[in-house]
Amino acid sequence: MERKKFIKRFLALGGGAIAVVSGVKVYQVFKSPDLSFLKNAQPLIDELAEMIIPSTDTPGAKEAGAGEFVSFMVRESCSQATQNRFIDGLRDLAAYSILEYKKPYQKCSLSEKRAILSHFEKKSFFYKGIVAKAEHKLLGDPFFITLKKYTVLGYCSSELGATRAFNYDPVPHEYMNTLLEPGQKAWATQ
Amino acid sequence: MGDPQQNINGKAIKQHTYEAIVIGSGISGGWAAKELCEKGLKTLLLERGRNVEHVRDYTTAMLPPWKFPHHLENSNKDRQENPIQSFAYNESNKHFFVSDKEHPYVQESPFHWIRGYQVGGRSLTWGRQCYRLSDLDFEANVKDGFGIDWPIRYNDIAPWYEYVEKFVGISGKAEGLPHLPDGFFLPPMEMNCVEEHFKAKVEQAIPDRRIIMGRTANLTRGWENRGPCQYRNLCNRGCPFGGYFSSNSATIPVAAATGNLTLRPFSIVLEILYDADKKKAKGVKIIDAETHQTYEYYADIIFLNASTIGSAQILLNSVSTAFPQGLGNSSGQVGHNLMDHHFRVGAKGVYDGFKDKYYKGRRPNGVYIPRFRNLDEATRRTDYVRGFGYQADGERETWPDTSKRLPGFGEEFKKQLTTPGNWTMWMGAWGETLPYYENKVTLDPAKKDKWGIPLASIHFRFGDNEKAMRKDMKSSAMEMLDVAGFKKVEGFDYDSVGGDCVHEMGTARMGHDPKTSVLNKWNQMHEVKNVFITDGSCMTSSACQNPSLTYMALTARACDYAVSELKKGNLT
Repeated sequence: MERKKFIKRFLALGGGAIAVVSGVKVYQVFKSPDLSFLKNAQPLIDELAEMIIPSTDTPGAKEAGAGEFVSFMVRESCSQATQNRFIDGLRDLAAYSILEYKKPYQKCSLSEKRAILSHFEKKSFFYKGIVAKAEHKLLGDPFFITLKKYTVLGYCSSELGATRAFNYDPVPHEYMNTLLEPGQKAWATQ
Repeated sequence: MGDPQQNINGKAIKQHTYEAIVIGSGISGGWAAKELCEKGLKTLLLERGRNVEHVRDYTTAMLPPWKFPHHLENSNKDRQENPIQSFAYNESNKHFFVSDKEHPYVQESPFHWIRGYQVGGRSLTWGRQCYRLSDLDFEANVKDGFGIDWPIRYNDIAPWYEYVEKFVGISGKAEGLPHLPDGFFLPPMEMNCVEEHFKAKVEQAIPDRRIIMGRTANLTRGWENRGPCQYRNLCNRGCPFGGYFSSNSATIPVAAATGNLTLRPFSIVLEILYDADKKKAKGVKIIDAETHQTYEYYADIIFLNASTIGSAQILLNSVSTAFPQGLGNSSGQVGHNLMDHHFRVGAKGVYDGFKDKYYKGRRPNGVYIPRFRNLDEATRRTDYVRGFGYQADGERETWPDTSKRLPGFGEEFKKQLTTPGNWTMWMGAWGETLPYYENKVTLDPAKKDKWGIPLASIHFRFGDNEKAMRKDMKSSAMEMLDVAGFKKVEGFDYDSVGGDCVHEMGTARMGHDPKTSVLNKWNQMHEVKNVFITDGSCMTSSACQNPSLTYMALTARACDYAVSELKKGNLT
């Protein structure tokens, strides 16, 4: 009950200010999240993850399963507010591409897709200090931050990512100073 | 609850009688079991949790990150069900931490009681840093007047430090510092280039600073049929190579090999039983964690090693006509003077250089900066007493750091993400906490756990001395990074909550005077001569060094004394 009261107070008083600067629809982040939407949106999430970490001479996020990991972690490890902002972000992104480019995101060209994702990255910068803390705790993380965070975690700790894009050394036997060879990849684990 | 021993006959009593009982199988209890068994005593080692057998039960030790569904991040379920333990665990080691739901306690003020109820206790997940205390620490209370005097000095414990170090296997380097005495060391680990640079610059610019290689219970060569360390940095999953010291890898197998050890897991000690005629403890009463049956076991001597809070809880619950306030607690000190180091304060910085340098392996250790405040008149502070040391670590950023810093996405982002990042240095301070009588463990008068045991209730607050010290802990770290030429130097103070450091100490302190302390200079209860307490609860002050090595040395010393007293007939 106390928590509910607090949220009501927050909405009535202090919350307004934070909500305005953050550009977040406050009334939406406390609703019960529509997690089933994630399943339908999986192809889109896979594509967005692949935009973050594309296939190059090493596998990309999609092949490494990072898109599925993003949805899994949104369901398993995010606050309700972050879940809502992620799901709303996916919807906003779909709507934005129709408005701006008159076609669904999947039909957009690579440069259009880049521009769309950049737009959402710009919208998601973190405030510093107390506002950031309050924002994180009450309003959750912005859509792009969640997408990027779990794409990175999903990719870098995947078998394909760790062993192909990084140096994975399960049993190093020793610790020693070395020279960095030209083109040497970073270690996969710390 | 049925008690199968209610009509106990002579034969059953005999079957339940040992020469020694050790309560708790963590880092100090494991040592007590080893020493007592090696000295020929039939010893019962009681552990409240499940058995964890070395190697066999390290179920996650060899798993790569992708075998963990959440890639080692905790889920909402973890945070909801285990709000305290999930601070300390992740997917790879959560089976070595208790369930908060199953093992509640009362926080009168915020205190994070991090626990591992299994054979080996928290020796499986400890930080492994090992530093001796010195007379700077043993004389601190009597010199500045906070707390009571330690009944021992460095010379009393020095040979026992050496004794345990020779078995544990501690890698490190002799430095000749009087306030951080050298010990018996295996070869030290290597500093990397940025740490070497930091050491050279800081020692040159600020003459009272020393940057030394961390001293850790990770084996740099094979030792006592264990190790060496394979530099995987996955210690707290349990090490299948025996690369670090734990009760499971080291003391318990040696104790078992004597043929004198009986290990009984799932044995929660309810109380220590007191014989008022003989003025001795006669044994313990336990409840089986699984069956909820109670049993009694008897022995000539009892070592209580159930952890600082756990041991206090058992003493307070051991009420008799002779000891209405709890066993050996006429002083009223049991449960009081609870300490934990304060930490989570320091600084970090970036070094713009050494771009062509890297390292191989994951070193489970960093560098150490021994205490440099309040050592003598020249280093005297006016704003606080005692001091702190730093643990520090230089490394090149990898994806968990770079991904937060790098903007954008796509090919360029991926390229930078997979390339070694900037050299960075992180420094965290571990500070001494004074013994405050008000910081205490009591038994909740009403609430009980599912075995009917009154819950531990904890009141804990850091004081003004710690708060003043923290300012220096942060600014001195920033200063050192500055003089070593680091950029983007940022201080931090994440405000540690009591218990976070998992260095609880002080609830049954040693002292000269039975009126103000619980244990004498042999870790023997003033009032119950056949009970010895050698876990963190015995600590009269906290010093700022990681404390486990001191518990181990005090345990071996107390075992030696206890057995010689037993042989002289002074304990029966």
